[in-house]
Amino acid sequence: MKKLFLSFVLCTGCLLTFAQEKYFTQNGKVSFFSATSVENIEAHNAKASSVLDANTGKIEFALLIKAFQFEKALMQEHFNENYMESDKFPKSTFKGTIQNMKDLKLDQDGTYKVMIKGIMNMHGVEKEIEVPATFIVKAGVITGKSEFKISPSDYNIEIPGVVREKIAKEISVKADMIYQPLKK
Amino acid sequence: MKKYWIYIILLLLGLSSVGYYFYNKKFANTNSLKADYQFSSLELYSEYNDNEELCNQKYLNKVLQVNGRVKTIQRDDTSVVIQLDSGDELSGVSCIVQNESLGISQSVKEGDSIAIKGICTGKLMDVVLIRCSISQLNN
Repeated sequence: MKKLFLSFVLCTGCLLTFAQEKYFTQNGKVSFFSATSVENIEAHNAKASSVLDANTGKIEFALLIKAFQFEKALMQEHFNENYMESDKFPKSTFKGTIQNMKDLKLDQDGTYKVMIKGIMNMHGVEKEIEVPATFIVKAGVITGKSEFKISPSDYNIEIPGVVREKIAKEISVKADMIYQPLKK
Repeated sequence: MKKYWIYIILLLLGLSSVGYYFYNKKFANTNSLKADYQFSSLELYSEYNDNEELCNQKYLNKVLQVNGRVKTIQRDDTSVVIQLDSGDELSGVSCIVQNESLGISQSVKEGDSIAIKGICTGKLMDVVLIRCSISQLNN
């Protein structure tokens, strides 16, 4: 009986540790698109990192601005030097909480829609944003996807008149993360 | 007088095509660039770990040649990321392979010793290099 009790305690212990698990990725993808009638611009970053705390619903992202890759060399240069000032502000982060964490069952296959509210830090400016995201759990693999829009003007990014026609007022941002359990 | 116009038009055409060329210019193959600094992945990581600010001033946008042991390699539809050993269990030096080198990257395995040239973008958890070319591979 004692043994049974002990194994019961051990098992619940295991379950609890499982529930507290954190998930992370270092190879998350973030891309953005600016679409205007004059020109479409896109850039991709394959090294975004993210940590998800399954217990609290806290979720964090970080990436290096300079790791955004454009097709055209000059665009990447302008993006870094004139708009994002990436020598001064090399990183961008987002720290938030999944609002409806109870709906997200990471141990059950399925597609879950969530809202994430938090602080975006970019170009030295902090701003609270709320974005929708979708988590897909399949055979133990957790994928998180999100698509939202941001305005450069919210982050004190000035677009000079000459190129204003070429850069959209609102930039679409896409994030795509495949999480792995964080081993301790 | 008529000739002047021809010259002016030719000049304008010339200027605009130069402009167009620079505007649409793609990146140079990193393979053809001379490395500004050379070290092992262990050295680069520990230097960054000691003083990130100073390293950013020194290395951002510079071409670094880094040699080290391949810790992990992540391949998917759009990108290949080779992570070199940093001496730290959780971190590394991550190299995002340029399109021109995707072919040769197919033969890279974990544990290989490799020399990679890429452009430094800073440190997140890893030190991240982009547009990387593989200069030497010993598997």
